[in-house]
Amino acid sequence: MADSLERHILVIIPAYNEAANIQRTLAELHSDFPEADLLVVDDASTDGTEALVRAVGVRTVRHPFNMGYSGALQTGFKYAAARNYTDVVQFDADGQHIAAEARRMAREAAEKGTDIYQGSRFLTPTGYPHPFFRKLGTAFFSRIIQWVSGRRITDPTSGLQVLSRRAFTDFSSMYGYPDYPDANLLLDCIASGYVIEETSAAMRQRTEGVSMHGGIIRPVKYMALTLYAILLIILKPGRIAKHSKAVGRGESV
Amino acid sequence: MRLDTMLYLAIGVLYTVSVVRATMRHGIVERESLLWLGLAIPVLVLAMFPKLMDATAAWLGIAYSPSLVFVVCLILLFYVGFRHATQISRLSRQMRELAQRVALLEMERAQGEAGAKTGREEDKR
Repeated sequence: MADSLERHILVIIPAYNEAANIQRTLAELHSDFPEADLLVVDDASTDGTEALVRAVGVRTVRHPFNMGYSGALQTGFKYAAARNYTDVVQFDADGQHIAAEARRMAREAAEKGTDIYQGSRFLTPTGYPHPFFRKLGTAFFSRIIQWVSGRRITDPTSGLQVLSRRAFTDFSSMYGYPDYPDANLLLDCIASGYVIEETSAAMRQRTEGVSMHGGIIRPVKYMALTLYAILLIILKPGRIAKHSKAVGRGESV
Repeated sequence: MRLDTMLYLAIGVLYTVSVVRATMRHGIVERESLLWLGLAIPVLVLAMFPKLMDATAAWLGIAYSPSLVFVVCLILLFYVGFRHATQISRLSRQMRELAQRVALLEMERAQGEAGAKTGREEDKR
């Protein structure tokens, strides 16, 4: 039975220049999600984030140079895959995610046996104040996912996720793990037969620091690249499973 | 359709298919492949529609309209070339950093193993 198996949960916290938020986030995880192991992936921050993490005794790995959010996640996946973790929780360093919600989601994901269990800000109205353009973008990709796969995913860009061992092991060795692992990755996973579910999750608004989706050029680039990636996936589904299997066998990709 | 227009269209389709297939095999990153498609397609459109090329050339004051295609291509290729130069520079820096760290890690590991054999503290340092 799933709930009698011992779960080893790793919370992966990618961090880039989150000195203002990181200790508060870690304290919240420590108190509200004590059974989980924590790993901060410091993406070559320049504001002393790593030292602040060490100061509160949390494990951290520092990149030799900046690789971006998805690179930091993947490093965390490699760490988890090499050890006996059964579940991975993706959790943001900036305080937007709520530790108690993550804990609830981890428990539910284990019970349901999902591969990807996403926390959605829009499944039921949670009062999350979404900027207008971001809302348009999210709705747009939600529509595309529905159109391509028939699945209804209300928050495809949510960073709060619980991944099964199958999922994070596949992602850890995925050569083409995308820069923005959102709608495109979800479609790839749906095509590969992953069990994907959403749950309503409350989140806070960012109080300090810079969001990765700010400005005008970056969102446009993001949309263009994500759409292109989705097109490639439509052309060839099931890439992810084939891919990580090939890498696992040591074949060149 | 004119013969040369058909030729450019065929080249365009072949080119797009090649780029997309290379991307799916991870021979090129999506970001770069989108750039290559985005730059090539306007140039091909100009080549495929001589009237458009003539009109645009006239508007820009270029007497010989095919020159427009050459000029646009050159500017775009300069841009791509420069972009590659900066990417190569960044990659070289990163490679150097990684190589140095790997070298030091291998040395530490070897010393650790040697130190374990002799049991001497200084061999482990």
